[in-house]
Amino acid sequence: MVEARPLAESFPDLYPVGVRPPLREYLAETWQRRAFALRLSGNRLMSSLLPNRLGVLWIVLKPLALAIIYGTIFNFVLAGPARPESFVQFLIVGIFVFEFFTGCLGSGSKAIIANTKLVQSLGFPRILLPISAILEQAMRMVPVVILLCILLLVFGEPISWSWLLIIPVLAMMGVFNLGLALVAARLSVRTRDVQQMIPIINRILFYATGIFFSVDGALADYPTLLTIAHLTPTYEYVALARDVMLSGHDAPLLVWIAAPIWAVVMVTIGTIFFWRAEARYGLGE
Amino acid sequence: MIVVDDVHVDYRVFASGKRMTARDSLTSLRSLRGGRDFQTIPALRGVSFMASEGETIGVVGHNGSGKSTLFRAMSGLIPTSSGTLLARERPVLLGVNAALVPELSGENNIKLGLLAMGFSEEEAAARVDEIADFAELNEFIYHPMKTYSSGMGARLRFAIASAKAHSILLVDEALAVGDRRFRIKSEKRIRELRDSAGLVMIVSHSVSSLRDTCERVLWVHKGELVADGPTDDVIDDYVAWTKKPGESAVGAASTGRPRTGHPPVGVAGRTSPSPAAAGAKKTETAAIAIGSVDDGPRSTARRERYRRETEKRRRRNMGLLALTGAAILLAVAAGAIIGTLATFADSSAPIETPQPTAQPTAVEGAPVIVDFTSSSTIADCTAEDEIVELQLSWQIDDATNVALAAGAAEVDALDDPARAALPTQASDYAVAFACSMETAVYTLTAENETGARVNAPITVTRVLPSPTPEPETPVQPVTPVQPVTPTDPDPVVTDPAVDPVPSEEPSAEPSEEPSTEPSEEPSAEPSADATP
Repeated sequence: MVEARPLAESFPDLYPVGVRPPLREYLAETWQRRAFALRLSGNRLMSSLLPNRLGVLWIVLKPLALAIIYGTIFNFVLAGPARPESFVQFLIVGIFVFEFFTGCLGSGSKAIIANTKLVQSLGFPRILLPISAILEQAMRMVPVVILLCILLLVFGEPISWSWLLIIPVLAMMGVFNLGLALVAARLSVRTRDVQQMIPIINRILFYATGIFFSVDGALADYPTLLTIAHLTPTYEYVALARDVMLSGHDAPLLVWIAAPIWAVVMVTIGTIFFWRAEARYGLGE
Repeated sequence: MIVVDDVHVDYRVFASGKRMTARDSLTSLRSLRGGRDFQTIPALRGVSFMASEGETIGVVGHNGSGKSTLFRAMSGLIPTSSGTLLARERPVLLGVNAALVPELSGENNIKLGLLAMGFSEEEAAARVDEIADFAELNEFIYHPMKTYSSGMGARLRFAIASAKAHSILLVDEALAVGDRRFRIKSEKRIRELRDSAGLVMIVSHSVSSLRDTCERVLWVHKGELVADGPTDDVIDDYVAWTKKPGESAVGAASTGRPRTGHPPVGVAGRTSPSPAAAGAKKTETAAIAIGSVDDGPRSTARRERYRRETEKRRRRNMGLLALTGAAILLAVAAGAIIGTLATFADSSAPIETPQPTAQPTAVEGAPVIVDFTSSSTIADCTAEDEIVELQLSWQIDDATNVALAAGAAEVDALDDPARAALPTQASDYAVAFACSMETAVYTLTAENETGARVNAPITVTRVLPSPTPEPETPVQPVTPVQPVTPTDPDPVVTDPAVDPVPSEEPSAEPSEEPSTEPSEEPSAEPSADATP
């Protein structure tokens, strides 16, 4: 590749193969082939659901089961300042929204290594694979959000226009998830160890986010830790979701500012990081 | 048009490259420390050629010689470690093992493939039927691709890849598994593609098929190009080589390169950078390297590359070592932090829960001393012979007999009463405190009809105006007692009673007492609410 320049000059009408394109061209090509990502995610979703007898029900059954488990256990365990107001609503919003993050990181980080065949047989911007993984998770969120609204109504939460804001909040979260998944997807190709770390990261963020307890109550005596917890990216989106869905769970101003910043910064870092290794994904292990 | 100039491809594999020994068992250190033991395997070692539109080029070589690697590198699916690849358009590779998405139906795979190749949604939809017809899969087009036989898969892949008309198509043994009918059909399609100014390159082990379709053949041997010339000549050489008894196929390094009358040529642009010279590709420039007794520039370059590679690997190993060390340090640090936090939490635990109220002396069925407070828990004495008056208040439920005792320790006031037959409810009941005592314990005892008794003590401490006032002993101003049933462990009811005491307290009172009070109250309320 060192000699690329003189040879390329002698063949001005040819362009180099196996070299990553400039970022702008790369993104343009990605946008041009967006239909591929969309169709791949739709097909993947269908083919993952069809073999199960309960089909689409599983999408809602998993978070529901988690909510029931955590709800039962921590309803008895949790007391004192860490116990949030209207515990059940607090818990289900937290679990359902966090499930989106877990799914995106899990399937997004495997986007390249699970599709080695596809990568090795067709030439397309590889970033489409993580994107389609995120899109698939987003499609899975649709029935989950509907179930969430129904459950909140059942538990006596007043319906309001602010519920519609859950869509931009989740979209923002999806953008953040994409950024993180891009980083994890590139690392997973050469360093499979990353796959072992992902459940650990999930667990840390699960507790840092305060899915079943109130971070503000638990850390009331440690203002520094509380600020750090407020800046945890997953906390931002869960807190915003609670803000718009529940009454009496207003998110602090810091969260409203930090959430979009996290999303933009993460997706920029992730895209550039992923694009820099574009030519090497086909090599497999 | 495609230009391949001195292309090298190295694979990294996690393998020792040696015969597995008994030491490589599960218990060996190697398996415990994980797969850091990778090796670099050169798959292509300096391949150069040029090809232009309208050509059909066959590629031959033994298994593992690097034919598929060459095609993958040419289509940009794997990166070259050195060398240059230039093409007018990204070549499309049609591989034998290129399953698209096995879970999806053939129809969906066609759509996905077309979209990935850059067709728009409408174009793809319009072409699906045409491609399905060409593949002749009939109703199987709606079945998942993982149910296909290898021949059916190959048909579908060929149909998809050849859908885009003007492109460089690389066919990697994809037609080998097709039946005779499909092979004839696909050879016809290949000719059509070539005639529409396309370049087709085919890897095949079928000599007759190559003779039918190609006019030029490349022979790849152990990652190097050993021959490049007209089909019949190169194939004759290749067939002759395969029949030689001494030649081994994969791997063996001692045999050297097979001799051929058609040595490959370098890319002209590399030696003389004028575009006009590119046409002179048939001039023989490359020296044929034979065996290892070769001191030509290629061999020097190879040694140089090896040195660089070793250096790089050494550096990477050092980096990995440092990384591992850092990870271990990090883990130790995390452990230390957790330990520190745990001890810190332990020592802070009693401070966080200073609840002097809960003294579970209550017995089931006994009277309930809801409230028992003193106006002050310290007696301000000016002299030792003085007597100070204190006001006690209490409230008792379900009691018939109440008595009060005073002494140095808690006693049963009904057995040893200072004041007996007291009311069940009193406020500011005056009692005397003799300043001769350092502390005095006032015990309130209540009894009900059944004879069950319950006690509640208050300790009052003397304060003398001496130069060193005695240190405050932990104060237990109140002992609200009530029978605790296991289903309702809620101490909320007694809580407000604690309030007056600390507020009337002199400043000597420990400061954390009032601070925990407000935080206790709001949290306790909702917990009562939320319990269904």
